[in-house]
Amino acid sequence: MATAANSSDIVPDALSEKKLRKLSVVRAKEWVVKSGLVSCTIFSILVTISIVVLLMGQSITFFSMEEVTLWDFLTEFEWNPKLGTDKHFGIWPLINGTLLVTLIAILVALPLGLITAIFLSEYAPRRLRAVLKPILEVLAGIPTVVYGFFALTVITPFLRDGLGIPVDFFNALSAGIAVGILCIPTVSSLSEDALQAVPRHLREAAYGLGGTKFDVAIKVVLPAALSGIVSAFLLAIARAIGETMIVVMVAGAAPKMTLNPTDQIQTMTSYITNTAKGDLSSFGIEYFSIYAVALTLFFVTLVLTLLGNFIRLRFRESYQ
Amino acid sequence: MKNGPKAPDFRSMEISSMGKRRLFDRGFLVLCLMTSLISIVILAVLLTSIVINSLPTFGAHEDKIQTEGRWLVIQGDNPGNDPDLVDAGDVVQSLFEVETLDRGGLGKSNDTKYDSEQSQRLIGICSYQVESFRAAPDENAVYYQLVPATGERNVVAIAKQLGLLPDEEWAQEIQQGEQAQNATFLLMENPASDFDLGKAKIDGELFAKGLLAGMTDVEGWSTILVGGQQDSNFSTLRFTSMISGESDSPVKAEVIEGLPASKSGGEFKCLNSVLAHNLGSEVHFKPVKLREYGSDEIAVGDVKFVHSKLEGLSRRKKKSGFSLGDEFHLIYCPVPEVNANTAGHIRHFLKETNKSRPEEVGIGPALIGTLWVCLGCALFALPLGIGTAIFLEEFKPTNWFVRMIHSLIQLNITNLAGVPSIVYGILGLTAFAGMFGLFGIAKDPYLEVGAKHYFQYLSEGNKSVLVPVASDQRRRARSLDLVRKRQKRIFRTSVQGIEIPLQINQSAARQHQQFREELASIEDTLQRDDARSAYNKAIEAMDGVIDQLEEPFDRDLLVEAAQKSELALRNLISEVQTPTLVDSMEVFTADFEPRKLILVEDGQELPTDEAELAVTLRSTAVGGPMSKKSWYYFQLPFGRSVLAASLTLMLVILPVIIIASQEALRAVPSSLRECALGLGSTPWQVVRHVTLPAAIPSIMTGAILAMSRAIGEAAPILVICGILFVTTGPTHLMDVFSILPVQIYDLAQLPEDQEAMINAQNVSAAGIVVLLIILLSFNAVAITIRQWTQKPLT
Repeated sequence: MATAANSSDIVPDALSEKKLRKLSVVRAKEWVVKSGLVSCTIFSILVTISIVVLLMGQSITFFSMEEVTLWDFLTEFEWNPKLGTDKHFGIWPLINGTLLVTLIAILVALPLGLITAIFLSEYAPRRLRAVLKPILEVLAGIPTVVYGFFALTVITPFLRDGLGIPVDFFNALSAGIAVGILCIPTVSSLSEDALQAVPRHLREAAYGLGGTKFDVAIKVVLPAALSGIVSAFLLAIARAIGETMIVVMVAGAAPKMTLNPTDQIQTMTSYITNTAKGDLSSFGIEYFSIYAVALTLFFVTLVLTLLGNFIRLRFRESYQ
Repeated sequence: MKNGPKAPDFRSMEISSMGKRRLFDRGFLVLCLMTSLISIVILAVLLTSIVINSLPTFGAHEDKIQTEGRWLVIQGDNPGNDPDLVDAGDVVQSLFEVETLDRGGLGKSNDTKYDSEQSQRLIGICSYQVESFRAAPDENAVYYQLVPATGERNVVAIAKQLGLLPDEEWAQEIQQGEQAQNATFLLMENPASDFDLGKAKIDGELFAKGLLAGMTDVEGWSTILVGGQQDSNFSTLRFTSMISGESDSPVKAEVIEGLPASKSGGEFKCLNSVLAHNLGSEVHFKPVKLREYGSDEIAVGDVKFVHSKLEGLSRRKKKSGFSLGDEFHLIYCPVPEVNANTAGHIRHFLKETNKSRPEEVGIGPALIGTLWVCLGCALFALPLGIGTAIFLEEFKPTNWFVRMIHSLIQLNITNLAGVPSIVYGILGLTAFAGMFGLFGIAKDPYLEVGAKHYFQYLSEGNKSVLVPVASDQRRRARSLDLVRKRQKRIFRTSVQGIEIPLQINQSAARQHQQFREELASIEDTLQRDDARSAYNKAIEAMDGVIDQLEEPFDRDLLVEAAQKSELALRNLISEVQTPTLVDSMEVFTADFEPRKLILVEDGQELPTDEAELAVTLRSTAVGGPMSKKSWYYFQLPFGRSVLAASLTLMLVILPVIIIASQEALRAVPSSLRECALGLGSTPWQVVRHVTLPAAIPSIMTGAILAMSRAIGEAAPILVICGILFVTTGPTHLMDVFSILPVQIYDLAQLPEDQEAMINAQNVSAAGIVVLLIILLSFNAVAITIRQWTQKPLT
């Protein structure tokens, strides 16, 4: 029979002093903590839901106004919300501006980012890598307003005076270049991750067959990592489309249908910002128009992000 | 092996020569090197350009900061406490200025009409005393008075009245011009240097006409007409209790009415103030951006006096302005503000506030604002983000259905990270700043805690006297306010002049009948005559609305009636709140010291003692509402406040923190968890004692990096705070603010003239340097944490 005296002999010294908590208390605590964590998680879902509900709801108000119909919004080629009676709400000029900037940004960011990634992953000696990677990280960490300033004070004058391109003070070209610089780190770091994930034995096999470094990098590793690279591209494009401060500062505020990069244009993001910080009443049609634009923007970036993640997961070549 | 891949047919393949392949290889390597170097070059150019641009601020300096001839606005009653600043000869006379401040932007500007009506009331009781001044010892000094010539009293009419229409053709031109009715200034000048406003006694709404009449009575005044665009109405002024005669005796200027500014956020030329400048030099109209502040205090700008030429009043101050009724002094400061070397310049830049001249701009308030916003953001985002990550990583479900939801949440968070930050800005503006309009507007909060309400009077001793508003008066006013809000909701769009089809029906008429009854219920509580007459007017206006609501109604008339009723109700609310003055009741001075009020009837002798005079009010004194907000001041909706911005920023960085924390938790080897579970720990105990301590360094690293992103984020905050010229950092959570990136943006956007633009860009670059230093130090901390705590866990 275990008496009290006996049991104290059995319990190790370390635990004899320890007061064991009641199981019910532990369970209650567990429950409280868990529900706290669940509510944290629910919050993130609420954010998404409220974005969608808000944008949808306000856009519906926008489209139910007299001046605009959904059909006009999707088919007209003029965006002019401020004219007294003759307002036009065709989204295409804004999309045109966004795409123009994005296109220039892609032309800058994709080749530079991809080649940098290949270099970092396949060629770079360790010491150079140790310099390059932090620099890319610094580039990624610089606030966008700084890039805007850079574009305004360096890129535009350089294009105009250095290269002799007749750009306006506000123009799509330098905005696009700045956005492109901003996107280089995104492309290069994500692509590098994808390239690094390609198993070593593929490379070794290629070398064994007599491939040069170029052959290995371009003909073997790159195709193997293609899904990751494409997803990096898509994420970079989504970032370029959603970029705000640079285009607000550099690209101007003139929505028009043009493919001329030296012109000033307006993107969706800069329309939203200029309107929201500007002098408009918050019950007028301009106010609601920003929600319709934001909805379009949200939709476009959402599709790109989803597609990027889908491609990365679905088409990932898995090697054992 | 039969079904294996076919061996390639080497004979038919063209094998490129080794030399060619080597060339490719080398060529590509060179290409790679060049490309990778581009990013280094870009970074180098970027940093160099910023550093070069910031040199005027941070570079070596031996000179003094160019503040010669600055007008200082000093609060309090001791203008001469800093003898270095005062030059006895340089006394300025009657410089007065009140702006209807206006800030553009959503959620805010909407209220512009109302707000400016409100500020109209505030301005209405604003009286302030100004030291007299003589602009310059120069004999030729000329004083200009700019008068808005609008509507009926347009410039031609006034010119005709004065008999100085110089050219019929020109008059025609003006008359027919696009902005003939409201586009021109009238400039009046007085070549005599001792300009005495005391003789110009103007009253009532026909300010321009009256002032003209008054001014032209003054000897030595002549009037000239100048063109100038005016998009905004001005405040009108009334000058009372003048001590005429000696030119440097104090002149009291009372603004009796501030007309609402119809244009917001734009620019308009010059100000309704006395401008002085030397004869012969060009009149310089500086474009001034109009803004509106959510404060009960009236802002005053500091006045610049450059090369004995007053250019106008600079950007307004907010909190360092003066409270209603406060006394302030304008002192001509002929010495440089700082005897500055390089350190002095940097200190100036970090501490000073917005100035109208870009080269003098400092970033003090913006820095403090950034600190507040980021601190608030971290307080909200870190627990939420880490909590979510712990739940997603450590409490993985086993049930297939829950697992599906789980992976859906995971996907959702990945997508949230990709949402453009401007979308979060809009969400924050609607959800936090405006709260979906559920609680009314920020200017008119549904709920407020931590604010004390006073009525402010100007005492006979020209001191501010604060009379507390009794709680039942306040309650009554609030219940009336509810009536007003309900009425406004019915006419929401029409009262604000926005064309949305009205849906008026019988119920609106019924509701108004009810409003009228509610209004009638307070009749007994009204004691003062003013309140009674305001009450009668409100009832009348309400009846007018009810009449108009009868079918069939005329839209325009209805809107007009609604507007009238709205105004009448506002007046009534203001009257109801007005405290009844009783002799020797407890009042407060501007420093919130309790004193006893001395009430003087008309015709009664005033006390002679200055201390007594400071708390002496005439029974006819008119006051205005004013509130004092404690640091814990809270209101619903949040308005465009620090709190709203913090929460918005939280939305932006939440996905980043969640993902980083998840990665950190994932990196903890599962053997540790299993070991702890094997010892009988509950899941939370595992997290609390094993996983979290192991992962916290990486989580902190991720969090710090996320915060450094938050510091640099401008777009969503720009939407929340607008472009605002604040002169102090926020003092409570509901305060307006500005942040460093927004200020950098604003400065970089200032293309006035070439020189100003370059100066603005230099200051902007200096701001960027500060921002980058903050970011780099954040990164350094993150890297240090990573270096110190990184130890292998396997």
